[in-house]
Amino acid sequence: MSLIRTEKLKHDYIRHDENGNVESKTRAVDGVDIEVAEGEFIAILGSNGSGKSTLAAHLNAMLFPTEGCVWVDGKDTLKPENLWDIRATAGMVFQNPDNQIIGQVVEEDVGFGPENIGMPTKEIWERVEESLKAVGMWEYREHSPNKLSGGQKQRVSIAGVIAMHPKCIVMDEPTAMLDPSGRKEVIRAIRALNDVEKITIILITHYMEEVIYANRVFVMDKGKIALSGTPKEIFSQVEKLRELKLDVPQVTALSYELKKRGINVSEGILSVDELTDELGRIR
Amino acid sequence: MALEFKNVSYIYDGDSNLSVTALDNINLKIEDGVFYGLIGHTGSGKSTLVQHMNGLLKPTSGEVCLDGVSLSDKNTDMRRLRSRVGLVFQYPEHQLFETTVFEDVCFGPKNMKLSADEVKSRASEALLQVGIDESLWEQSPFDLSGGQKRRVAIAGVLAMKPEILILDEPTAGLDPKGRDDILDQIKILHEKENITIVLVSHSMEDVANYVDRIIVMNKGKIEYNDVPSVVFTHIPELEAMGLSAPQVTYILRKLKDMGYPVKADITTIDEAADEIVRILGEK
Repeated sequence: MSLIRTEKLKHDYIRHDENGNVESKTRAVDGVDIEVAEGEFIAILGSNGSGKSTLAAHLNAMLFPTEGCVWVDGKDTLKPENLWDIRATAGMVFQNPDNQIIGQVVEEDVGFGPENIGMPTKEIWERVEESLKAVGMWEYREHSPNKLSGGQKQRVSIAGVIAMHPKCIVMDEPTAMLDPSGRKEVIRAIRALNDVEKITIILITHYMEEVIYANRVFVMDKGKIALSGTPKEIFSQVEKLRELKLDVPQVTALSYELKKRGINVSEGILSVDELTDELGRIR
Repeated sequence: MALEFKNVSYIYDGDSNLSVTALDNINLKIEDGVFYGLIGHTGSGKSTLVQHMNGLLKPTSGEVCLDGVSLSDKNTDMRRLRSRVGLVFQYPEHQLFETTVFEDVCFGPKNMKLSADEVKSRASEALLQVGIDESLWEQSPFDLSGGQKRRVAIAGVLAMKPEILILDEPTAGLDPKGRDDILDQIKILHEKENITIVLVSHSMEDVANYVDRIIVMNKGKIEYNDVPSVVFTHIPELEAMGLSAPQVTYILRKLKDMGYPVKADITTIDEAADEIVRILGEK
């Protein structure tokens, strides 16, 4: 069974004037059908305003369909009685780590969620330990979050979500505000969660290099899924992606440029080693 | 006009036992008409450095001089200084506040006590410089897309006709097309109006593609101040500072290690394609 499924999902942002009349309507998601199986690593790309974040917010019932349906672990998000289960199944991580950390000490912050659902103290501490270890932040458990780097803070936010034992984590541009090493740390942590803990990952990002680890990629445009496929399939379509205001990783762009200049390299090259191997073969 | 740092140190919370040295004896000259990239990991002192450039922070010791006059001098006209050295903060769209796009851009020049006509002509010019079409000028800035808002905010600083324009991560959170649009426009401004630019960025690729010189900060000190092709040859040192080189630089470095006669000091896709085509042609 799929963990997440949307059917003909549409979402309108409706603006009302002072008297409550509808002033304007903007369709942000326009007929999206996706299915995500348990354990998958999915990346979602799309230009600003393409509807990525709106789609993501439907996956843990922060927004509800205007038309169509969303099921999370078989539960319809439109049914109020499913709300708690859905939010326990699908955790969410946002762009700015500073807005997501509330504790004065790292371990307290991570324990906040479990404590809120009335978990016994002993189990809270067990979960804090496993979560912080999963993101490589255990040795910082007694630090103040304020003194951590951006990448470290973001990993603490992720630990706070993992402590709730979600089956799936939806991440909305978790690396947008981080420096290169912070980005690497967070992506490494996300991949480990997927590989080792088998948590389903849905990653929204503007960094094309972060997408290459995903099993499947969805590209959104004007509220619709414009392309879907493996990273290799997606990044073989350099011109199409550029039309959609996106890009490809530098190594893919270089391979594409070489191909245009008559050098016989394959399409959709995703890593430095792949390209240097191919060039070695040509020579 | 040249902006010069002479033995500048800055210590946060100097009178407490939690003091942090953010700038450590900085000597730096920002030359006229140069496009600088400023890189460094989170907490390296980049933001503290740029806040000294327009007098938002005053050195704990040493001095920052504009045309030979210290910014700490009591006679320095701060309002004039800030119109000469324009600073665009991170996420500048959060600072939009007026009812229309046009009014928002007028705010800066109005504060400079210019005539109404001059204010209007400067606002129009600045909006056109950042590529905001006249049809949007009477709209509320809050109805624009993320990339458009960002450009309006940049226009607000440009309307003051700064001689030095500092931008703190102007492309954070934008899609690749929005990112290229903004950087292209900054480059055009730099070339046409000969404005000195200081671009703070976490993207090594962007820095390599656009700037003349790179200033690398680490632990409050300037590690490198050189052209991109030289700075990015220091890959191990950059990685130790939490930074990296553009992906193409790694490709060329790897090819060199494999025994190909390539130049390794390459930082852009076009240069890399030229170089690979050259060596493959020579075999």
